[in-house]
Amino acid sequence: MLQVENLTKSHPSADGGIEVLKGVSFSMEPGETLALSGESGSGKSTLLHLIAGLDRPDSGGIVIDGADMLRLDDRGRAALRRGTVGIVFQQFNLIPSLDVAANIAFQARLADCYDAAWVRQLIKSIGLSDQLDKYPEALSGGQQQRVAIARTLAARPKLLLADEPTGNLDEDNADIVLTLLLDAARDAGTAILMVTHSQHLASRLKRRLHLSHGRIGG
Amino acid sequence: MIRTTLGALLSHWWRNPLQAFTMIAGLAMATALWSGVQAINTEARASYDRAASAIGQGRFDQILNHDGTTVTLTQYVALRRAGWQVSPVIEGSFQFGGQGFSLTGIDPLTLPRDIAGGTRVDLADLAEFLSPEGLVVVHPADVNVLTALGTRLRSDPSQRRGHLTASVATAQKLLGVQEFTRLLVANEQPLSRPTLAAVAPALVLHNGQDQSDVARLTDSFHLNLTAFGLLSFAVGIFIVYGAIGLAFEQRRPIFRTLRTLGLPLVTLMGLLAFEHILFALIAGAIGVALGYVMAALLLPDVAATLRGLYSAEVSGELTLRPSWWLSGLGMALGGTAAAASGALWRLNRMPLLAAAHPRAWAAEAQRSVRRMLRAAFGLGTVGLLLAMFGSGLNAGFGLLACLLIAAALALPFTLDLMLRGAGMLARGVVAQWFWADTRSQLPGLSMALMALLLAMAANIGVSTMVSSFRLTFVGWLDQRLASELYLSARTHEEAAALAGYLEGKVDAVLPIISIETRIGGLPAEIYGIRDQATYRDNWRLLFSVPDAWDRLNRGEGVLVNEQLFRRQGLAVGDQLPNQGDMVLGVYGDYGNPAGQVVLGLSTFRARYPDVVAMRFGLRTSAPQRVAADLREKFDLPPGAIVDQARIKAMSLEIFERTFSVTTALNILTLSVAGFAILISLLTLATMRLPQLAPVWALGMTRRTLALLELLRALCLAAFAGLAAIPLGLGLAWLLLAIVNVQAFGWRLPMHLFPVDYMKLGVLTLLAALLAALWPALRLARTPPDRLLRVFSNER
Repeated sequence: MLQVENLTKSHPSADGGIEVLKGVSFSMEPGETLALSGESGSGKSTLLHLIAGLDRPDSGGIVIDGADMLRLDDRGRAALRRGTVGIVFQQFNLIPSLDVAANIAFQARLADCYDAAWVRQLIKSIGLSDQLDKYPEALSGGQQQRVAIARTLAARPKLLLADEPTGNLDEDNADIVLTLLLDAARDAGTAILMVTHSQHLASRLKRRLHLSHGRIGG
Repeated sequence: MIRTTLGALLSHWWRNPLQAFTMIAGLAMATALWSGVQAINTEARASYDRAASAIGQGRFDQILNHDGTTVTLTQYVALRRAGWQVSPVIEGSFQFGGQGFSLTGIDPLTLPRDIAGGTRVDLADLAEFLSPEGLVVVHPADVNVLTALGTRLRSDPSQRRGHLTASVATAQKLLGVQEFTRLLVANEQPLSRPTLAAVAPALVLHNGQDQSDVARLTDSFHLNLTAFGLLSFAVGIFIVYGAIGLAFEQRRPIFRTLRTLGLPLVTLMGLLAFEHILFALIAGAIGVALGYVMAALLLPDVAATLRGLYSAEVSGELTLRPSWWLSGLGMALGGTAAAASGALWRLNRMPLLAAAHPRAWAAEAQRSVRRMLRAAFGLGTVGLLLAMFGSGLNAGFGLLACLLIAAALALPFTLDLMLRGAGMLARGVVAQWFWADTRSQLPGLSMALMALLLAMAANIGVSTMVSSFRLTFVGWLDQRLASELYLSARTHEEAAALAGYLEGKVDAVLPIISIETRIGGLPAEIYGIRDQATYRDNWRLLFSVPDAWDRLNRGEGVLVNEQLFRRQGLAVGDQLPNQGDMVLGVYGDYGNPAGQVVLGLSTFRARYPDVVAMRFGLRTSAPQRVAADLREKFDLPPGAIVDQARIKAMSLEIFERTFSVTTALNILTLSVAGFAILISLLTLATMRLPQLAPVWALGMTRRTLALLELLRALCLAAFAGLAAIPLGLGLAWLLLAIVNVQAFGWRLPMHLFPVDYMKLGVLTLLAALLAALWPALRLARTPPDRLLRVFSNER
């Protein structure tokens, strides 16, 4: 499903550049769930952004579902994000001018794979059936994150990248959201790569990787 | 994908109707002002073209009513009976079968022989043409529509489409009028006929040749209007620029989300371009419609101005023309493209992972202050070069544009300096916070303040010009119209009898004697004047040789008006083209588009022995007694004696109407700027809570915060107003010293009107106060829970 090969990435700085990733390699199988942990500044988010095609590595390779990410242009990477890879951010990133129903359906419609029955099932599972006509500003943080997860899963991505999806939530809400994410991903056959600081949440995923100073630890 | 994304993009406007309104209103107002002016210009030019192609225009003298209304049957009959070879013409338009038609009614029996062939009426048709049923000559393509008109139709391919020719009687019936539009004057006239003033004093004779010069003479007037239209458009575009910039900034997170969710950049750019085209078309259509209304309201005044200044006949009715619909929509699209291009460019360069900082737009605006200042210096340099090496009206307008835009671009930097200074002088923590916060608001308000600066400067500049012109004009009228009475004779015999009778009964009889000619290809008049103290005392010479009056009366040269002097590029002492006379002096002659040459009376009589004075200026201390005496002795008609006050009133009326259009545009531009401030404050208010909530939490009441918001708007408007005064005066100087000289041919002294500027300042502060009132009230009534949300971790 995902092969990451010897990935390196530097960020420019006044001293000439900070090497954030120093030859990261790992792979994931379809449907697998993987927790990526590490201290602040270890390169977790950078790695996620590279896999999502939001940024370009200095060297190395990323292959997702047989597609070589580095050979794709902006259109190709965008197409991959629409159909194959889904992303859930810590900051929800909902579209404030669309109501909950439109936000959930958005990515599936964008990818032209909208399935009304599946979306209904997702809405039911996130427990927001009575909030569909509300706008994001009227929801709590936990509710907004549930909508963001439903939006991503509605397009049935093969790989879901989650960047500290519960970072803005209290412990109870974080558990609810993660349960929802894992259940829905299992139903959709989606692999999950989740960045998290929480050992408790990481323990609920099948595999764990630790990133330290730009290298995979254990 | 396209539909879904477009829906998401447009949903922003749906959820932020105020911003959508700002965009559409700003663009619509800009387009309205531009297309309104264009409609007026197009209509006037179409009238000149119609006039040039109409029967007899440009080839024959014409008789019209002096006030622009129609010629009555009684007046026509009186002229025919007096021996005048004139022929009536009726012109008008009407709707039939859902189409508009223009119609010319003629009288083939009296039509001057040289154009009878051009009327498309054969002798064979004459009887039918003049029959009660009538015959109408039409273009073949119009026949089907006009079948039910109720008259016989004759198809003629040489007839202009949409234009009909009929007899005067048929035209009267179809148009529902009784009177004539004008009378054509045949070239050959009986020598013994009485003057026009004697037979029909309300009518005036227009020289045929003058008509063909109308378009040329009025070019400057239309260029002035166009420049005003552009200025108003620019002020409107400032609003659109601000609204687009704000909308882009507010939607930056959405753009990032859309890209993250898999939307290619090129698609996003394309959709945003489409969205703006959609806005431009909607706002453009509204703007053109508003412009039509504005033009319809202003056109009668413009028509009166053109009639008064240039004797140019312009229809007071507006026709919907595809050209200005297209021009208006084109300007709306162009203006939107100009306003949106920067934002689209930034989006194109924006890294996908760039933080969607809520104040990034303001930060970017802050960075752009220096860029704007550099651009201002660049434009200032171009303006300086234009001032040093440019010539002509276009260079004048170029210089004006450079000055205004450079000043507008330099405003944010200037205001920043002013606010920094105020902050340094501030004592107390609230005052210091107030000035610092005002500085932080500057980027968001700078576009509106630039619009306000331009509008105020234009107002000061134009009002200074108009008021300077009015003062000079009134003074000049007092000088030039020194005679207490003006007398017109009907015949040569009567003129001689009047002159003889008046000797010794009045202080002076000043014959007004002139011929029309052309100098340098433009119409001009040559006058002969008597050596009399009235002229020496009242005619102020702008430039002259020593003893100019004595030398004039000795026949050593001529005086010329300023227009002729400047158009021909003359200097005092030069020889006049064609005539060879030396220019002894130059006099002001405001409001007259034609050139004028003044000779001593004896020189004039020697050169033009056949020309007889038919009008006289009378100097008397008892004008009413003299007028009554003359009327009784000579049985003079009412229009034969006009007193000085009436002529002055008529001249001033023409003057006031001349500037009514510019005044109206001025007020509209200022209103647009006021609107810009309102909209900027309202949109900024939505972004203000995160800045105000901490101050509120620290103990300042919402009411105090609202009052400070009001004070802030007033301070910024006052600072912009202060900057507008020198800019407006510079603009006035340019208008008076360069544009007016090029456009009209005369230069006016500049007067200052501090009271008017103070009134404008108060008006502007009032507008700013009104604009700030609503956002301030909203702030004062903001529920605490909305302010608390700013601190909520869950948001």
